[in-house]
Amino acid sequence: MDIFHNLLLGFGVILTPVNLFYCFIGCLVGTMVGVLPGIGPLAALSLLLPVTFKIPATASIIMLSGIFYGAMYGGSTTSVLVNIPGEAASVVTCFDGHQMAKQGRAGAALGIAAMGSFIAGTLSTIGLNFFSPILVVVALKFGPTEFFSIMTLGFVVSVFMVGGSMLKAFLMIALGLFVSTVGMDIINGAERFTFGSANLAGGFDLVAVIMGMFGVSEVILNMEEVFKREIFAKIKGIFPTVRDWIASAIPILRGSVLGFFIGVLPGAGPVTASFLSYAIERRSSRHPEKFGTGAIEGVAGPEAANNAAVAGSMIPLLSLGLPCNGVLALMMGALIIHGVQPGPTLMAQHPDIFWGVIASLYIGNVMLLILNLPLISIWVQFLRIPYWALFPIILLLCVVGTYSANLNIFDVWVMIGFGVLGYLLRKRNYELGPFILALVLGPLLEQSLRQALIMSHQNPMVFLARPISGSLLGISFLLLVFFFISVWRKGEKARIF
Amino acid sequence: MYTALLLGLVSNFWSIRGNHNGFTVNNNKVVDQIFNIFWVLLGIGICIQSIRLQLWNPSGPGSGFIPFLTGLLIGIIGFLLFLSEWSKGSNQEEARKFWENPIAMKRVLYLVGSLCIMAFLIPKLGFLLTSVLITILMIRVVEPKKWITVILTSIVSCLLIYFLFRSLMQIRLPKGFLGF
Repeated sequence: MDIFHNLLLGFGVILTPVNLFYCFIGCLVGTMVGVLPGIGPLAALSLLLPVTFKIPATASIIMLSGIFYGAMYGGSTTSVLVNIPGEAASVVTCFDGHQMAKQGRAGAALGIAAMGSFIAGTLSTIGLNFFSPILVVVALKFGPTEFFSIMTLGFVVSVFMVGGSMLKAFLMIALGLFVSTVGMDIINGAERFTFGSANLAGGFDLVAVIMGMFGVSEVILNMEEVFKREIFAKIKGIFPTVRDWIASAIPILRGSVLGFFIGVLPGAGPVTASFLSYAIERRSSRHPEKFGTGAIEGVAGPEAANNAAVAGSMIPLLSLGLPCNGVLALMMGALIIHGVQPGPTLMAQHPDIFWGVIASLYIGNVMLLILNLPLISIWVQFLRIPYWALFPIILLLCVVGTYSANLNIFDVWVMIGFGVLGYLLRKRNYELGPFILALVLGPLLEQSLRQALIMSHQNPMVFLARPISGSLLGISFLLLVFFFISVWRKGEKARIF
Repeated sequence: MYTALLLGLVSNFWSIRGNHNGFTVNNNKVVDQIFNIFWVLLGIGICIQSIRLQLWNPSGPGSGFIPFLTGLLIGIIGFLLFLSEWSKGSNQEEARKFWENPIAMKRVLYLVGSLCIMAFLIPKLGFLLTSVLITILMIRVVEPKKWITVILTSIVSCLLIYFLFRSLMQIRLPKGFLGF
């Protein structure tokens, strides 16, 4: 009964004009970001982070999560109509969605993508609704030792999930942790790596680093290519037929469950969920040869999975204060800027935020269904905006957004520096996800490690002696061993180096 | 001017061929090794600085403890990547140029240069004037459209952002000598 009572509280929070407005703005911007190739949800979130400084914490997080799941909806539009994924989680939608568009079935592909996303989004929100409070009860038993161990597990899983070199992913984690240590020591106030600069005494500004790494580097990377878009703009019959529903019902349900649980895993997220769902649908299909030629199951499953993963990934953030991926790390950053620490105490200290966000997912999914089905022809017009007119706006938003955080031009230089670094790293196949995860979690990890060692009279065995902490570290170790064995057997040396 | 000079030097340096074996800085394998050496040096630098900060004190880990571990990890991984790159032959991807298209290289360098000029000029000319000028420059470099199209697009984009942040969100943007 408590859950229903709290959910009512959440609906009370979201059903106020201000929060509904920001939820709508989040969904609108998210869909737009999803539709437009060349700007992902992470870049969009970093661009809009400064906007949240002026609005309440609840409205901020509702808007940012709207952008996140809105992008998952919008991403399919570009994949189906242009064969360019609007964002990474919609890559697989290109395989069959665009083939369907070529066969004159763009409407059915977009319709099932939106409906599947809505069903998965709603089902996974129900899951989030029930699992989060349970995890909070467990998380309340966590001390610094457990937090350190669960963050270590998060890092290991994030390395495990990257497609490329594992060593490079570990290097990115180390770099992110190092960048997070620049500035004043949180425990004794000593200045670290500031070289006497007053600008660095507070450390690198999170907004500047994120905007540089994701916003600026994305624009620079896009500068190298010229998009030639062939748009299938004739869309008719957006409501799937009975036959389409029969073919898609099981993939949507399977994608919802799979996406939800993949989302909960630290380091995983919508991208992994969509790829895994596609693989499962193909393997379980009676006609696997039809995949890649316009099979509707190949659109329904992955689209459901990537949306379900969004709600799933909210669980560790809201219950443990652990962001599973870069987008959530940014949302956590936004909450911290507002003086709200996500974690086990969030539900007790800020029930309006905790339950408001959950309720906003229900409302946001309805808004997105309305935005994405009847208004699809409007979104198609966005695809006609040439990139040469779009990129200066993105860069200006980066500059103004970074500057407005502290009203300090030094942050703009930091943003440019990290933008160039991010561009070079991305070009040489370094994954930025683990970097951002380490950057955001760095201060908490350091604090937990040092507190645990101080409390245990400098006994490092405390991390193994406590049952939850020991188990989490054990899982991390086993994952690494499993990874090395599987890579060794398959002879995939490139996965290590 | 200095930025333009620097960009010219960089683009020339990038295209210089080192010897008759076809060694060029614009090669993915060479770029990877430059990265790896950078990681090793960065790791060593972080470790040295961390030791100065104190690794351990009577109550437990000191200010330099975590940075030291990260430096150690960066240095060791950089070294392993260097060795791995050194020992293996060049595959197709690595033998490719870092910037295969010379136009892409110019665009990237001009874009970064424009951003630097922007950051330099904003405190002097103010946000609005600087952003209009730099936006015109950036669009012209990337897509040589008609001047009138470029100027109008720039003015509209900059005014839109100025209005959004200055008027709606009440954020103080840098003013120049003209007062805006």
